[in-house]
Amino acid sequence: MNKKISILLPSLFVALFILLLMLGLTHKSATGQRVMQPKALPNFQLSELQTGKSLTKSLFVEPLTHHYTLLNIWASWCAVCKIEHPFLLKLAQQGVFIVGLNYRDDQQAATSLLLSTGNPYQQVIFDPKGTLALNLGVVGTPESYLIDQYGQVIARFNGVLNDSVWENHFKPMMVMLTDVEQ
Amino acid sequence: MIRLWLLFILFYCAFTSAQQADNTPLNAVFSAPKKEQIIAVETFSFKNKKAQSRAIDLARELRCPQCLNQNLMESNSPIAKDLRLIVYQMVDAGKSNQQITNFMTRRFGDFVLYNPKFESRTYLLWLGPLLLLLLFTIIGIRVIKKSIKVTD
Amino acid sequence: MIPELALYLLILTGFFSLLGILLTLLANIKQRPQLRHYIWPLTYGGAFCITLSISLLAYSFVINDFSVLYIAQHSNSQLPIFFKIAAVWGGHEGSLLFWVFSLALWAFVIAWVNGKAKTQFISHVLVVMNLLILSFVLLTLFSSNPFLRLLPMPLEGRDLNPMLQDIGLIFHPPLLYLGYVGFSGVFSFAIAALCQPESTFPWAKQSRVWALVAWIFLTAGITLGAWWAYYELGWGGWWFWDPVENASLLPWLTATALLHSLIASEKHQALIRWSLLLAVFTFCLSLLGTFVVRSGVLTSVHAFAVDPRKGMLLLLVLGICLVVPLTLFSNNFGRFKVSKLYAIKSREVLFLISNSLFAVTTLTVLLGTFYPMVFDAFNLGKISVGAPYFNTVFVPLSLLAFVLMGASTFIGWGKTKRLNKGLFSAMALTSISALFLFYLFAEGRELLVIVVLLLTSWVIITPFFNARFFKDLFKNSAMFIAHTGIAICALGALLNAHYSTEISKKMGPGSQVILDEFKIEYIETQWLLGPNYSAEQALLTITDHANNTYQLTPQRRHYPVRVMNMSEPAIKSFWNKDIYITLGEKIDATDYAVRIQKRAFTSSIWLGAILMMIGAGLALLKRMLRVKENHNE
Repeated sequence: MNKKISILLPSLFVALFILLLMLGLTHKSATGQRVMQPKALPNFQLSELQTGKSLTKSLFVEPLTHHYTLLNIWASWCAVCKIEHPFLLKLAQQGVFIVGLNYRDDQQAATSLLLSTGNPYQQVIFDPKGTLALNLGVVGTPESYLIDQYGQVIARFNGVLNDSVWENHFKPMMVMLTDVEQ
Repeated sequence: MIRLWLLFILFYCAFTSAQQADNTPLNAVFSAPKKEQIIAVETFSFKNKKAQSRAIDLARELRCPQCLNQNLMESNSPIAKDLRLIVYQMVDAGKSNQQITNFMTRRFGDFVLYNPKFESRTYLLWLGPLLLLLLFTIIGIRVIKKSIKVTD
Repeated sequence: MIPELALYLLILTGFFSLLGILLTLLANIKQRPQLRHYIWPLTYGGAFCITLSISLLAYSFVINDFSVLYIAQHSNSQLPIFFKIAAVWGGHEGSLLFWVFSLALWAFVIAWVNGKAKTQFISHVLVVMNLLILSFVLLTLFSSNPFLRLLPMPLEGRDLNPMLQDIGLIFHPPLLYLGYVGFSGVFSFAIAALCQPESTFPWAKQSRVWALVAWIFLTAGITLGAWWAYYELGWGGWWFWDPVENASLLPWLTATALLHSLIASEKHQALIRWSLLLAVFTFCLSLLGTFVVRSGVLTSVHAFAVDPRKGMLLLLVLGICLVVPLTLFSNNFGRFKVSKLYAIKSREVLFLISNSLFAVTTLTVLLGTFYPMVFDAFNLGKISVGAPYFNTVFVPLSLLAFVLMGASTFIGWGKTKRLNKGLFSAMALTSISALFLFYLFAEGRELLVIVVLLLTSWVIITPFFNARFFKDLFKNSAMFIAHTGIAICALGALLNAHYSTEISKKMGPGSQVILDEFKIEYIETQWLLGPNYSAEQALLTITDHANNTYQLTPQRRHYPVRVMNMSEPAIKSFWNKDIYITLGEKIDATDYAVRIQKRAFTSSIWLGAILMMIGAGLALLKRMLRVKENHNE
């Protein structure tokens, strides 16, 4: 009996190790999401891309018409953002309140891009030096943040937003939010 | 239609080559950083040598949040240059290493620390070597004792 | 037609292996030993086929056959022919083919050397080798066939990654693969020994030869990789504790332990189980390294294109390579002779300690490398484990190893009493020389520098206290040179980390900076046209104390096909420092951001590595001479 166990023991260890490696191998799909604690949006003072009007954190804190805001980081030089663009337009049509954060961009190029491809954003924060993006911890474009009406970041996603990400990553958080309200 | 396909193929090629060329992950493509920024970081002059070596050592211990596996000194990605500049500026302004790493982890998480914190979830990592040393010492002593008995 | 022929030859290699395995099994089952002999010619045939196959791939590269997908992806008609051949192993598919090639080559050499007496033991070794060949042929065929056609044929290839267009990277992968794969020989010997614990075949003796050869290749591969990273990447670093680097360090550590353990096993029948397990683990860690590079399981700068499916298959091979020998081992555990220990203070115990130390170090590096992956897999968040962690845990363990290295002089095998009287004078001499070195090199008073200087002196001085050092010069010098090598390497690495300085400045024609004792002047900017790139080149001069002037030309290259920019640093090496200049961003019409580093003692790192290889080479040479003597008798 004892001998049988000792024969099987090494195989067991190997199986465990291989299993771990397999887990690591298949886990890659979840990249882009970051587990996070709700975090307060940093303070900022920047201008709107098109109107030039001054924007602050109150943009997210005050809204009474909706429970949450989707903050989307984009730039005209970002090729991948263009893949995401139609989906954002669709979300905007569904009534999602989207605020854009134009990251390290040229004002002219960004404005003309929005004119030609359509504008899903209610407002666009113009951040040519990337100061707000840095304080948010933006790693790269495109990136999206879900922000509740108290100015807390409750979800984030690094990469192209699409139906499945929206359904699996952002929707549940939003449902939770609305539930709390009711 | 054909044009669309061509565009797609072109885009795909550009994308895949960019992926191999730089260490950008799949879902993010970056612009070149603003030139002033590069120049500021590449020609940064420190108050003194001590600050310089502290800044460089610290930048080496911080991981570029966007790259595959490079520290702030090695990476040429825009965000790494940004963050390196911040490290330089903060060190030059006399901020402590703790303050600077706090600044980074608040924004990008513990992921950016190449020197993981000693906390409950990294106990195994930090104490592992000691445990292993202990384990092998115990096994070694037992083997030696047994073996000497055999020879006696 | 040629790629199809090459593919056919690859399949034939697998077929030969399969046939050899089946015939040998049949020989064992039906008790017909003469059937066993067929595996020799079949192994030779397989090696011949795969050699031809890989040569045909190289030929297709040379004639720019872009209808082959792999060639279209990794070559270009403008690519110099030298790099075209190197591109054979420059991508994932080709490098896997190279794996098969080196496996077949090793099998061939083992079969050839043991070709006179076709013993049952060696036939078992060859069965294991051919099983490995077969699995890698299948892996290549089904998951990464390098001979796939691309239709319609493109007019131009996508060019080899400019990073790989470099002399260092031409030889780095094949040396590394030859090393990795070389341990398949030791692995096969271990399995054959595990199958027949009572066999009288001197497996430890032969294993040591194969282990030495493979170890030299692996060390050369790793060193070349580090050297390439140093002079090509432009950061001035040479070891980054990147997962892929760690993956090559792991088998190196166990292999080094194996080399020592085999000495004890071969000559004194001690630590036999240790040797067997180390042989198995060394090859399995080589497989793990291959897995890490190809599967994308760990995020690394050096990884090939990510493909989890290939990873799964490799994982399967790795699993089998671990489970089979370990089960055999635990099954036959009691049947191996237990080594005799006569005293606590004996060389056997010393080797046991050193084996344990290597095992702990290996497991620690393994732990640090895979910790973030496991962490992430269990959704505990993302963390990084990098250089600071590895330095913290690696340094004390290696310091302990250095203590042992020196101590070995004063401890003999078994009951033999070695003189103790030299011990104190050795310690005294060590301290004096360490103080002297400290006075020479140290610029600060770091404790670690003092400790490492002490231990380096200890390792280098103690062998001379062996009364028989000059009597058995050949044998002792192999050990002495290898140990001196690792000591110098460690010392170089430490001083490099502690005493390197740098300066970043905006420079243009006419400007100059001072870095320590050097004056660096920017002379002019030149524009060059390479075969497949264009470059801006800065001409700088450095002037030292003695008014010697040297010219340096760092470049920024642009490769149009891949739209990539590469920075080529320029290095002037002195015996105790390198001046390392990188040309950075262009600031205005005339000026560039220039980074000038003084990297202390980099040369000693390379010198140390070369000494280690020479030491191993001497041990090998001695072995070969002795075999010749035995033959002549």
